[in-house]
Amino acid sequence: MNKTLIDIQQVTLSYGEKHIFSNLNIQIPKGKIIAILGPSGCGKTSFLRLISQLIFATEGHIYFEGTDLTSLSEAKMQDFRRKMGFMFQSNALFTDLNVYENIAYPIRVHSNLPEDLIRSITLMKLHMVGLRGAYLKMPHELSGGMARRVALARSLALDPCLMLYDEPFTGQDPIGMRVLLNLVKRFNDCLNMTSIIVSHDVDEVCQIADYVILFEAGQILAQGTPDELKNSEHVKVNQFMKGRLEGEMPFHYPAQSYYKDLLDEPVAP
Amino acid sequence: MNLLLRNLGFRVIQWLNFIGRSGYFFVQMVVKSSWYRGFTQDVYKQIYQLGFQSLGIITVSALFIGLVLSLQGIHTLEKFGALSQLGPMIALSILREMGPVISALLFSGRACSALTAEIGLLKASDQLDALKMMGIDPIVRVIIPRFWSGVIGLPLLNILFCAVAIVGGYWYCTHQMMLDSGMFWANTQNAVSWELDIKNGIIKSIVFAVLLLWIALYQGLNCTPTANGISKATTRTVVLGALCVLGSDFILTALMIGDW
Repeated sequence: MNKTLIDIQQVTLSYGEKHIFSNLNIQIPKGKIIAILGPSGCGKTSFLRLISQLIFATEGHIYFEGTDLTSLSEAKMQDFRRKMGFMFQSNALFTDLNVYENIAYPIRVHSNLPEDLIRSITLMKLHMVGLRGAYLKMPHELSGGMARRVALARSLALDPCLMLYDEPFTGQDPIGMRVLLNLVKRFNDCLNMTSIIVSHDVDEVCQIADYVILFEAGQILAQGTPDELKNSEHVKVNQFMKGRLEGEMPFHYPAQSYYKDLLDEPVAP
Repeated sequence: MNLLLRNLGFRVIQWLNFIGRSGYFFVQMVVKSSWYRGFTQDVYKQIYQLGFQSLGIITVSALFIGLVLSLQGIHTLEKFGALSQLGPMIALSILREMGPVISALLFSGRACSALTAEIGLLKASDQLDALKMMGIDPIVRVIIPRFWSGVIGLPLLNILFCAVAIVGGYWYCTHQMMLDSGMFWANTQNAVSWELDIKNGIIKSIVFAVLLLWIALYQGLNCTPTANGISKATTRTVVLGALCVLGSDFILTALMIGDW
């Protein structure tokens, strides 16, 4: 049995009347790659932001290595965030710094290392993602795939024990996606990390994931190994994992009847 | 009636919420002001962006204001045979009021609006969250250097503004209207006091800088991270900034005028 890294207990997240999660319970085992799947708007990104405490749960507790993150002050949470790497969907590279400075910045802030050692570490991180040669480029000079890899290198700058990936494969060509898949898998295994990947690329992410959690409307619809979910008899799980058009998983946002909307008196928006 | 009261209550709560949040933000800025490695470098960089890059608009505006003030002064004072008081009139109105107020309004339009937009865009592109994920407090690394650079930069711009405007006024009345240069400077020197005029003008400028930077940074940090949200926050920065400068100028003048 693997040790639990993150234990989410009875977490509820609401924005006013809207409930994103209610009474969510999840355990994330140490050293594994966990894929978070689900239709758009089901709360996948919010789940990553909850773990990293960029947003706060309305109720419930989130334990990280046994420490309740929901009870920590912002200053203490900053120390915990250094153990987490977050690869944002937008990359979030610092636009006024070049590639080298983007990666060196967190190392420089959190250590008293001499500049030549910081340089070596930074170049090693860039070499891991194959972009050592692009260290002087500015973020706007990078292609989408290169920016993704720089973001990956930067999120690994402080050697985190937990990596949170938000849609890491979006907009990647097949080669770029394959490169990123390999990197995620290799880093997780070599650096003894735990990875949580939010993605819509079901087939690709299932190749590297040890465990898959499928969300629907803020609830866990199913969880298990990739094979278990792919072979699930559950109608919605089956529909989502195979990307079928017909099924119970709704494509339309809840609304009144189409007939009424088109034929009734128009209501001012 | 019930609905009216409810709306009124909602507005009051919203206003109190705004006051509380912005007050807390200001306290955070002051309390967290710490010297970290690279702080001075960050402040220099921001002084360059906020202050040095505003030199053009400040200098040109100051020159024209000095010229116009001189022109208006000549035509008015001539009627009373008081042309000898032109120098003091230009110098005192610039040092006491126009210098601090106009340089603050120009700074608000040129630098503070850009600051709000910059912070808003950092927020919209997740760069502030990226800093948090590195265990770095955005208030300390992003907000505080900008705050202090503005607080240092605006009084310096005010001093420059006053100098250029007075020299502009002097040049017009001595070189164009052929007034006596010695009389201009002698009367100005007699009328202007370091303690009451120059120092009070600089104090005003520091207060305006604190208010403007507070508004600009708060609006940037709390804007809705969309194009529309950033645009609204930028507008609010300029409008609120101008109102606060003019309002606080009245209060400061009322407090200082006893000495004049």
